[in-house]
Amino acid sequence: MKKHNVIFIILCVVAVLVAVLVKRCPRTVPYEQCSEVYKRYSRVEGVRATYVKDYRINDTLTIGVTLLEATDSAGWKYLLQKFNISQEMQTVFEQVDFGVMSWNSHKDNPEVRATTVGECRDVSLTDKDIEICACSFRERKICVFHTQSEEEILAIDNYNYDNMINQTNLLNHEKDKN
Amino acid sequence: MAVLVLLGLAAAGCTKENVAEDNVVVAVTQSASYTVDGIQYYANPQNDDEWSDFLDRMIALAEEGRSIQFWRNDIRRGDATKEVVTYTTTNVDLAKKWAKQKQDEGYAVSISYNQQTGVYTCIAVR
Repeated sequence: MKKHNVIFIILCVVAVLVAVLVKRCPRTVPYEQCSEVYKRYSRVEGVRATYVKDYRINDTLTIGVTLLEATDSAGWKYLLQKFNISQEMQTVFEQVDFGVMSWNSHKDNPEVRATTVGECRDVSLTDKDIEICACSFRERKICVFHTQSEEEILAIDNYNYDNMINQTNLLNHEKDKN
Repeated sequence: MAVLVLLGLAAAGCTKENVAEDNVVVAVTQSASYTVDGIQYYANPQNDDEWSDFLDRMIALAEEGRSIQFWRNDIRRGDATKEVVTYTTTNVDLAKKWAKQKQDEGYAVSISYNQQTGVYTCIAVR
């Protein structure tokens, strides 16, 4: 009986350890399930690409996000060129304290701006053809939110605008402290 | 004769200053706006064939008895790489609404907030 008890206890401990390990270890998304944007930039020197499958936006919404971070000046220059971020645009947005901007882009082609209203709108675009991009000049990052519906587009826009405003508040607090 | 020679020498000595014209890149985009029974739509024909198709569609709609108006928009921008629009407000909802509108029009947008003045400043660039 004693031997059985020992084996039982060891098995329980192992089960608990495995459960803890599974919970703590980050889930890795298989390459095939990553976004097209991630696949395009994952092997570019000077750029670190990360794909998060279920990034939580709010209590009810999670969304796929690709994050592109420049690890050096050459990588940042490359990203700015690929995403058609002109020097004039940089100059304007770097004057804003935290230098973050967002725009609509074509699905799987965040380098191409999308226009959905106004005189020059592309009438062939639907909400499923649009993704939202955000760029932080200060942190040298570009984020692509892989939206799939009007509801997700509105949620991400709100999320980005709130972040921009909150960042300003944080910076104002820092300035007041100093 | 001497005067002519002198004039000739003077002409040879003068240099005509060629002032190179500034190369101003003017981007021209054309699009069409039209109404069908009072409801407004937009179209973006890219070439002569598409414009021809567009006109054919307008004629077909008119022949069906629909009320049609259409016009071509020429949008000229002196500097094709830069249009900067700003908007300020003390209302956060209006700021977000404006930013969203501009973003949908193809601009890159940003919102900042000045705590001291309570003013939201929105910038849109394309």
